[in-house]
Amino acid sequence: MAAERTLPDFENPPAVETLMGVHFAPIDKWQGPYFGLFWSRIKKDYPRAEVQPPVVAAPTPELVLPQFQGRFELPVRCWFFNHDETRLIQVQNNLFLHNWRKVAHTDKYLHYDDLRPIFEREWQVFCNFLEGEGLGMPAVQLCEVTYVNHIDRGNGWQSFADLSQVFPNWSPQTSGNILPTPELVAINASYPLKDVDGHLQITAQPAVRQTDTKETVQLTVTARCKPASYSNQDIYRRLDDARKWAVLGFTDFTSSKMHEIWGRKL
Amino acid sequence: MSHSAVWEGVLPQLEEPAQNQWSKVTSLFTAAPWVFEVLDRIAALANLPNDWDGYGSPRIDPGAVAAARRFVASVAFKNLPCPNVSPVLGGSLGLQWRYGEKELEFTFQPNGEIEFLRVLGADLDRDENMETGTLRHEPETAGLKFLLWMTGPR
Repeated sequence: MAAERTLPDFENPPAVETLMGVHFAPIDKWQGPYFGLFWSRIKKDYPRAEVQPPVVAAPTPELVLPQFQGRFELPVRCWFFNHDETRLIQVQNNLFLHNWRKVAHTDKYLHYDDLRPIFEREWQVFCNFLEGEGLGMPAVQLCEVTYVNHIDRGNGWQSFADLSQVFPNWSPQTSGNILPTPELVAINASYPLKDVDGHLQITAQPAVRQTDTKETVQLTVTARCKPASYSNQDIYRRLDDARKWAVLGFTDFTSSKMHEIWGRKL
Repeated sequence: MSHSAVWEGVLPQLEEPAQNQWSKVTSLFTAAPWVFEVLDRIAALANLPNDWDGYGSPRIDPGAVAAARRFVASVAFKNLPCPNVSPVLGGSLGLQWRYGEKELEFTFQPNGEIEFLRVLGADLDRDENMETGTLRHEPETAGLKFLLWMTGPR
């Protein structure tokens, strides 16, 4: 991972959450009870679980599959929380994700290099579980790395007219100067990542953070890449590629002024 | 009642796709149009000076403002009507919803507590038509239950 040291780095990045994981073809034999069986394997480290609605939106057109057809099966996703609820494993019959989130402002930001070994460990536990239960190895179709960033009002921007100072590719200018300053702005962009067979999605949306009700622009940067094969080696390689593009995309999409605010080191 | 139990009743009304993100935000774009309006109104009331009513009332307390904003962000569903937002004596802030004959009022106190008044019918002389109290445990969830009651069948 020596090449990663060349990626942009920040003293105080605005990231509040990162997730990495894999999307795979639905596991045919997967049924509800397997959630509990899997939980029993990880409950020591993930003592609390929650049932969630499934993520059904296909991340790319290639994944538009009849994901829950063929047998009556209640579509659900399970969340398994670690002890201090800073990390989370999400399991669905076609995905496995690991999330980290910043709970307190004082929490140390966990870098990809800290999180990837944790993901590798938990993914291995999941694969061993599937194999042990005779469910087969997942046919991984996409590797994903997502960074969720909060750029609070007052931290580089005051009104939505200022967003060009945060995102250089956006401008409040109109052709006839008839429209007033926008009261809300959202951006949704997708970029092809041809070298790594993937896509980079960037969304910026105005929001209110529920924990402290601060107004913020949530900048979500998601890179999804197809692995060359189902092997773990290729999966981890694609995760590294996705991470690289997520970091480069975030940096390129945001302004030098904001990089200064976030204390760019590299 | 837990969040997830309340969620079961609300899910069909939300029509929001599930996310794989953990941090919770309320999008100002996908939230109901009233949310933006109400947050704006709360922000304006937060700037009221002392003696805003001419009778010596203190300015709206930041604790009450934060509680009201948090509440609005957590019940930002499209099928709710826009509430009336008003300053309340003593530095508090109020949200009032009216839905047919039903009425709900929440008062956000400087200490963050939420008091409620629910009116079940037009005849206010009948005691059983009014209920007051304080939302203590998981107040946003409890408030959401009241709002579901309000918009539900009589």
